Amino acid sequence: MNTIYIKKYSFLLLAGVVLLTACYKDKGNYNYTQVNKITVTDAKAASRMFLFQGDMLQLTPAVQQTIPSDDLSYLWFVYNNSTNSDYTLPRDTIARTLNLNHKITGDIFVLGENYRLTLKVTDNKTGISSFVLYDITISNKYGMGWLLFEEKGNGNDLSIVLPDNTAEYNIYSMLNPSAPLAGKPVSITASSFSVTDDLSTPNKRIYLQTENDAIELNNLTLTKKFDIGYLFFARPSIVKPTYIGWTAYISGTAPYQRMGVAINNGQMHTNLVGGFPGAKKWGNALPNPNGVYDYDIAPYFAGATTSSPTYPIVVYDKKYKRFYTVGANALTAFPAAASNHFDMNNVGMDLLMLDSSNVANQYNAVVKDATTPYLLQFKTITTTADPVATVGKTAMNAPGIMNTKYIAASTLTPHIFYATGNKVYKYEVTSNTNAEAFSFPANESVTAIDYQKAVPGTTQQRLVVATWNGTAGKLYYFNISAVGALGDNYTNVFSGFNKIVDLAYKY
Amino acid sequence: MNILKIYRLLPFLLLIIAAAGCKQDDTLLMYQEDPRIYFTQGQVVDYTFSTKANNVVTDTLYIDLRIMGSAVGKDRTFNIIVDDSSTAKRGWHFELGPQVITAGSYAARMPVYLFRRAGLKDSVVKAYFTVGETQDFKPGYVDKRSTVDVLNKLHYQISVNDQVLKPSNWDTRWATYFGTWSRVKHIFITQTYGGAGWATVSLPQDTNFLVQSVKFALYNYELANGPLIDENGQRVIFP
Repeated sequence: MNTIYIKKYSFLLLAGVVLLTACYKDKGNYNYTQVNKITVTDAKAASRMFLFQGDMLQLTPAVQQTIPSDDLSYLWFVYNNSTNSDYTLPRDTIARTLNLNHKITGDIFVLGENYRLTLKVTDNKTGISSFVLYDITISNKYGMGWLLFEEKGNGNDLSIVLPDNTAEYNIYSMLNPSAPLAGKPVSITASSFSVTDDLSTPNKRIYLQTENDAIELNNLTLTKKFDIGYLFFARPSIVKPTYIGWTAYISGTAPYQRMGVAINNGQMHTNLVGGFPGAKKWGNALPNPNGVYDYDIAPYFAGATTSSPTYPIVVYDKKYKRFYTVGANALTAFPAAASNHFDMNNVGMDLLMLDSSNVANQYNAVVKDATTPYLLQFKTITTTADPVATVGKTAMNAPGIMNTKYIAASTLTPHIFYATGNKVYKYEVTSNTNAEAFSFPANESVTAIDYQKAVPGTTQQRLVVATWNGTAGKLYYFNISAVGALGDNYTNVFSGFNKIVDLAYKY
Repeated sequence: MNILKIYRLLPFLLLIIAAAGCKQDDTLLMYQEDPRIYFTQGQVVDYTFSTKANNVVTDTLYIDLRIMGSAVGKDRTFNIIVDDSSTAKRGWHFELGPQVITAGSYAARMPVYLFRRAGLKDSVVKAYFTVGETQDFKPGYVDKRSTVDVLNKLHYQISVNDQVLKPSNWDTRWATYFGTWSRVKHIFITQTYGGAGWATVSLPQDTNFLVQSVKFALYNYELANGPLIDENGQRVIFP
């Protein structure tokens, strides 16, 4: 009987024990507590910032806190956020302070790339963070403009006049502190088209030549890329370059690479490019038509606009005073039928300047004998029916031109501008007349002159003249009218340069 | 009753039989192959001294061999037999280097020393090599039927000469740059450019550099020595 009783009510006993646990007092905390809420704001974060390398990036964001904490930590980090970024690049921490004062350098910020800069503000008491995001693009300050190769003491330096009519001085030494370039400056060239030499990424090419060295500059950063020993298959035993650059022809409406031309110690070197693989460098010197190397090429050349012209590249031999046409492996004489007005193979005069003219594929060579300057004109494209390359020979009515090398031909009007001393003259080819176009202050003398057919972004023609007064260099812009008039005065002047020896427009 | 007794003994009997399986077997019944050796690639190697400078009188070729089986902890020797059919004389035209597989390695590069002898100017000598047997190695395997293709993993051939032979692509490829072929011109080009590799130069600017270099070298040669006359009595020129 007892056993049955226990069995019957043991269930109730168990239920009672379980139910009693509900009577345990809950000592939990269910109050809501306010924590410090951080807000970071900066007006500069609203839009993309465009920065140049070398700039100081200064940011002063504002931090608001609901319950001010004295234990905040700051973290500035940046990563490449370009469309082609693979996002596997590391994030770089650039500062741990609230205000940022960071110099943009190439080790983190690559030219042309986009970056996302983040400021993370953390309250160390709560571990809660807040963020503000900035978008940055690294722009190229030296994208375009006149590069001025200057003599500085016994060395050289580079300055640039930018399209916004500001000048940056001594940029080679600033950008290349660890790669000084020796020697007095000789020439600078900048191609306006891409070159696929497979030595580096296809791009425009810039070369600096000094009296005993030559280098290629990075077209984007203007830092030294290669020295002359690398640009040649075999470094020339005597390094005395006067010209390294690229010839082109017109493909469609744009120039397209034809062949590299290097003139070193008067010897002609070529570099054939054109889409085939392999590293393309300058080869050995070319022999002249007699198979020997007894010649001295002037640092000028005449080209042609078509891909297969009669004479793709024409150069002048200062020693034997004649023209050659340049092949891949030899300098070649002109056929007898090419010469009429004068003998291309026997000019017999000293070359002052060889430049393009206002007629496509027609070139102006200013030469002189003992008493008279002559204008020799020839064309680089002839036909079987009309094989004559020479166009004309004119005794120039151009006083003073015999004593100068600062000559530039217009490619729009039949004019040749030249300078002697402090005066700029304009010679008109068609009428064989000349006029004094401008006179600089008496203590300034011209050291370089160049003609620009179209100022980029405009159709304005421009004559660019560099002067030197013994202590400081200046650069003048003259806008030229459509009929070749120089105007009464220059349009811009830039001062504070060293002695400008050569200039080239960087596209 | 006797039968029952046997049944009782049966478990003990089985136990004894099973215990016999616990004996350690000293001879592992694993397959042990014979160590063998073979040429990594049986082939014909043509060697010419003609592209080398005149003061080069000896050179070394290397023949790659591999072994079958595992590496062991001691040096082992193999044997390369020079076949009787060889026209090159061992010790005069060539000599074989050490025939040793060093301890722990699976392969070897056997040097073959070649000697520039006067007779090579007008004849080509050949050496036929066959893998022989030693205490350490048996000949390896034949990858091709030796009756059809003698250049298999057990056979190797070297031909040595000091002659300049006109490249088969001279007329089609190089005549435009170098003109008529002659032995003297050929040697001049190869010695200028530093090897026989010029025959395979194909990219345009590399070709230009080669052509420019030999022209420049010939110019300097003529300045120093006068015209270079070839074996036909003609002056060497590059058009």
